[in-house]
Amino acid sequence: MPGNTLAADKLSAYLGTLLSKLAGDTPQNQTLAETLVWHDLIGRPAQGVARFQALYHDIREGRITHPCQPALIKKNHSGARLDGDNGPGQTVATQAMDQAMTLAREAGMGLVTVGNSHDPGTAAYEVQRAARQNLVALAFGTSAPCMAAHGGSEPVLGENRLAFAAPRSTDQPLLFEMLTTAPDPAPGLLKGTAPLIQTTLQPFAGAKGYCLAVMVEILAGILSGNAEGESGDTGQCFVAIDISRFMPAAEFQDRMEELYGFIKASGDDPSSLHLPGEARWQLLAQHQQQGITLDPGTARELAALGQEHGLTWPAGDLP
Amino acid sequence: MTAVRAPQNTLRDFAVSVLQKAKVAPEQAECTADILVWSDLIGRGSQGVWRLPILCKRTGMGILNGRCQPQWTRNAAAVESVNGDNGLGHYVGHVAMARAMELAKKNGCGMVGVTHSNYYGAGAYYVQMAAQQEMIGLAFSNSFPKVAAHGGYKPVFGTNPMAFGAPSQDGHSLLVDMATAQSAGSTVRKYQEANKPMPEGIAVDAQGKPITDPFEIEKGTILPAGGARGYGLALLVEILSGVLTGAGFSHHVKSLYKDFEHGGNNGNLLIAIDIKQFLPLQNYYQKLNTFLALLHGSTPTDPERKVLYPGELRWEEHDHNQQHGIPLDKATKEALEKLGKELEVRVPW
Repeated sequence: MPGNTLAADKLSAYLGTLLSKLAGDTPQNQTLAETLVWHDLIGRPAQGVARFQALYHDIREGRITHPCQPALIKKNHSGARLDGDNGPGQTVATQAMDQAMTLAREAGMGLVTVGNSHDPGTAAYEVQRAARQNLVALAFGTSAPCMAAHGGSEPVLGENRLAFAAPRSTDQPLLFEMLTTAPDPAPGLLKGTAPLIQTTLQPFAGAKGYCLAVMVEILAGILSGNAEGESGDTGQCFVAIDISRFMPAAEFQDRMEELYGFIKASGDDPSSLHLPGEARWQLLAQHQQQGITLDPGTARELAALGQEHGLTWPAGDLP
Repeated sequence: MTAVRAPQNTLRDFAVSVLQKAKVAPEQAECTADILVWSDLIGRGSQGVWRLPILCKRTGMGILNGRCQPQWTRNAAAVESVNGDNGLGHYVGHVAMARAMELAKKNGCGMVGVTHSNYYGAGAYYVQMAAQQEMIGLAFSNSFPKVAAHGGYKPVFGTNPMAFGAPSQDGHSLLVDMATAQSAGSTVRKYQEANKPMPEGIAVDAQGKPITDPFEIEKGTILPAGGARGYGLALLVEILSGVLTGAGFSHHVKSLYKDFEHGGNNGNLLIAIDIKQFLPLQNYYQKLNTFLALLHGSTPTDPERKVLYPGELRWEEHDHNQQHGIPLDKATKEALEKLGKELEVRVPW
């Protein structure tokens, strides 16, 4: 097997060790590594370990704080606002979603916003994590301006994403994530944590994408108390809803499958009708079995980073 | 084409009277009339008094309960459910959002799931209730299936609107109210009025072939907005408003216009977020004003049309119509005249 294909656990252990060389021992090393690797597992490499090198340098040079200690600024019975302590967006997202899930267990729903952190480029990981615990979850995230208003010319909005997940009777939750930009920027442009996008994007479906982007900006940007337009600063908002406060989880799952049945019957060929996320779970299963094949350039970058600390690349010789 | 302009107050009085004649309890008639007239005021006639004939027909027949007694369940500190008792969706939606706002005052956020309800009109109304109390509002509602899944062509979802409202300092809240389908009825009506073919990609027929004749759309299935994304959003709305709440979903939701045996069985989910429990209001408005100035500062692609924030145009129409009267087209005018005659209520023109 060429050295750019390796098992997910080996890859995340390697990245976790690399982070510990910078930050010492902290559970955040493994959380961050696993979150990145998960995106490679589901076939979204642009939000995966391709971002590691830039993160690593930002951490080493003090632009990103890792480990970070997000602080509770405001808390109420069903919501909270955190300060992200200039941490990686992935780490603060995990802490914010944990908080939202705890609040949801107590009060039925939890909404947690977090500002002062860096753009993770994704919210899928957190919502599916909540769905696996029988919560319905929503997430909203802003990014640096790259998109025009509807009918406008200059970038005034981020690629502002929203994500949604709901449990099913299998271990493969419905998982939906979308950017409000149209069309999706080429994955290469999103590599790293700094926006490299030069052209101004337009909102998806015109007014609809614009409206959604504004909604995301208010929920994730403004409600997180995030500073307007500061570079590298991103806002996120997480919502968790405890299904068991409405009905037993099993009943909800049955209703989900019934809805899926209606969908499957709505065309000529059931195999061409899917729920969002299904293709991701297929890739995840495939990559868990066969390993993750990294872009050779990414693999070489990561191997070189390890060499600086005397770490051996955990797979074979690199192509 | 405007056939007549009716003053807001007299149009509301007319709506209250016809609803009451059609067996709707006074409080519920007033609430429903307020919401219908408000929709006309903001220029969304498709959710306005145009709906009175069908609502009165259903309440009069007893298929829609004009004297509903909503039943509440306290699920958790911040979450409640209400069984709408097959009542007017507007009234039930209103009491549900009012309750979500009370829950938000106590808890930071409040959520109410609605079951056994009916068509509730413009979601924008409920979220602006929250916005006027300096809260953020979200409203999700499912509806009778006429929208396909991505990759399918038979109806699975309603037009499944989602609405979002956030307060602005001048009282003209940001309002988002969008169908997750490719096209709401109002867009199709524009093509009908202009007697022009629609572009492909809006709707398909029973064989899955594109419909371009706007008069054929009733027989067809609308496609989700932007394919996979609109499909995901339609699912989001269907799951939150129907699957989660315990209400009807997909084919369990019945048609307002075609089914005269069953209640609609619609579901809603209403959320209120009390901003000041997250950050000081002053801070919120400061950030919002900066953001709105950024949007307004955009160079318009069409020099004639400045960039607006979502809802801004609605408030322009609102203020204009409040002053000049609510414009009603010929079809609506005649339908209300007919309804007034049947129920012995004088039209306000």
